[in-house]
Amino acid sequence: MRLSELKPGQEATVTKIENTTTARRRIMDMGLVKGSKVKVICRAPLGDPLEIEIRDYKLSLRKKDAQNILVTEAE
Amino acid sequence: MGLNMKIGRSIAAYSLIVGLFYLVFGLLELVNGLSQTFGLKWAITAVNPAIVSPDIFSGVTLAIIGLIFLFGVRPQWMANKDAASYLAVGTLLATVFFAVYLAIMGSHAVGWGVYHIAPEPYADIFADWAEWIWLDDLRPGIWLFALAVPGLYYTLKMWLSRKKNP
Amino acid sequence: MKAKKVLGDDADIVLADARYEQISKIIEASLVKGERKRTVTDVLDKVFLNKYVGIPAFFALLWAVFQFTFEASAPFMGLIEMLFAWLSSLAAQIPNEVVASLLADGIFGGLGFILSFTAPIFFLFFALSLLEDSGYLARVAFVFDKLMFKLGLHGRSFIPMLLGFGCNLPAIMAARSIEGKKDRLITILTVPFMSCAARLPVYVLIAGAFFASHAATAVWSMYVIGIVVAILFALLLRKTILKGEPAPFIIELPTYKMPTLWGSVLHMWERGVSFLKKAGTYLLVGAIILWVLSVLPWGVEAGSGDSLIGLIGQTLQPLFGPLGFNWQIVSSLVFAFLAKELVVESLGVIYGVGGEASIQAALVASITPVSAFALMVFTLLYVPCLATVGVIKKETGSWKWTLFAVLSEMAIAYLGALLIVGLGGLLGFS
Repeated sequence: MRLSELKPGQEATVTKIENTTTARRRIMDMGLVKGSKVKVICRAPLGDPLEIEIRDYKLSLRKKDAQNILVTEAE
Repeated sequence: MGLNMKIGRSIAAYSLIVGLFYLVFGLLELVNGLSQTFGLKWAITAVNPAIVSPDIFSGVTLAIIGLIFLFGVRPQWMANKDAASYLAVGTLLATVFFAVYLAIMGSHAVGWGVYHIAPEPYADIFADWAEWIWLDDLRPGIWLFALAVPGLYYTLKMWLSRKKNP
Repeated sequence: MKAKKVLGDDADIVLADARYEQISKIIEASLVKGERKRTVTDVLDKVFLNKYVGIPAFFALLWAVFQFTFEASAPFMGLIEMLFAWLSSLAAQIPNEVVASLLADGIFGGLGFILSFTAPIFFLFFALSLLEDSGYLARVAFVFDKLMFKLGLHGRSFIPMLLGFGCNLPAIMAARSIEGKKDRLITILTVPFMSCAARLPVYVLIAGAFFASHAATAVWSMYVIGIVVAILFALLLRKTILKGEPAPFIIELPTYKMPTLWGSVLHMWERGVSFLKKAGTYLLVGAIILWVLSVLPWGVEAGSGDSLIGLIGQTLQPLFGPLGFNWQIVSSLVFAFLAKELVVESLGVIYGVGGEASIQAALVASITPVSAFALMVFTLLYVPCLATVGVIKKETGSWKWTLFAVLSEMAIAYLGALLIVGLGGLLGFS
């Protein structure tokens, strides 16, 4: 499953980061790495980007960057 | 208990009343503004412009604040977890506009004061405020705020009680 | 490359993973988490990022900022104006005629007129500081990122573009918060097309003279044309000299905080003073140059057809012939390099008449309505003011980009006005 497919309120664990773009470095800098728990808070009013909660803070990223982050949904 | 405590039907009823007032007076201000700016014949001046100042954008804004209050009515009635949000943001915006209109009133008072004390050639710069009286700037955004005070009090109380026992 | 084979991924990724894994272990072993509560940020974001009311709430706040900036600051503009008028009257008493004229008309007159705009700029900086310190400004970028991305820009470009409607100077300075170099450049280059408050008196004067009952529509159309040109120019830059994608929108959304009055005042002061330092030097030089142009050769009536500025207007006029501008208008456009609102003042000086009504009458007698609309478009699109050029230089740190900005704006303004005249001709207006 991809981070971009989660619905607001769903929680998940990151399994793999596929980004090969410049965004990859930045994603890791923000603490979004394999094994970190994320929760989707909401989407922006226009549908993109999305807001997620990670390590007790709020991070925003665009759908196209979230598409390259694989997650497994938490039960 | 988080911030969503004690949101119930009385709060919903309160939001409904405040929301309707802001919405109605916002729309009146908008209609007054439209009829003044464009001289439209169909849009008769709805209410005495001395009471509801004609101003298109301020009218729209008051209506938006009203809508935010009204959006909160349903979740508040159901005691939903989002209930506090609409009340908080509605009162926040109402307070912001109250402050801004007060600031405008105060600054116009400065203009009026300077007009009356400045020596001859310079007073002309302030001629716009020669006839100013404070009632000119008593906008609906100011006196409608009286309605929002209980909401502000309620929101602040929730906020502070949360700070005290986290 | 060897590391990649052994570890199955890039070394830096593996390192970061391992580091965070270790951190998680330590946290798990040492931290007991209480139950997660709804915070103030959760509560407020529910509305500010709401699908339906999020954007309206933003426009409400925006209106509060604009009201505060332009309504509440007006008497303070008057105070600054008064100060310079007083200085100017003092300077006029200096026995040496040249020095008196330089100080009274050139410096205190020209500069004072423009410096009175520091009042709304300080008010704007204060309001923005409040919004920024509260944590709301980051949300605005978040809310409008999708829109800006479609235009080849970044969410953070939204605030500068919007501020441009008030004054281009703080708008260009606000572009500093944009990380990507290309994103920032495109923002800086397109902000000047946002119709700032100083252009309004020019529109009002011309529209009032030529389009009586449709004046409001004509003025409104300037704002729309400005936005359209900005969008087209941004897209063009993205396709040509500043190729690439906007930087990723991976930013932290800070928690909301109660802004403090003192903090915001300090913030405002810092920005305002740095603006004054930047703009002030350029304005002083510009004011002196324009004064020299308008009074030389010594003895002619200032700004008349015999002065240098009149001669410049007459020399350049053939270039503007296709647009239907006469030399008086061209001269006033040269004047308006200092600041756009000077179009009105200098037209008065050049035509030798006083008062709005007589300037309007002089205009109606000399150009066609189509040319008048072209003049409005030209005023909208060409270099906003000398101070903007100065700030563009400071912010881009390059004369090359500054020159590019000036030349592209001139070219776009000319083409835009030409397009209006051409369209007007096709549609049968004259």
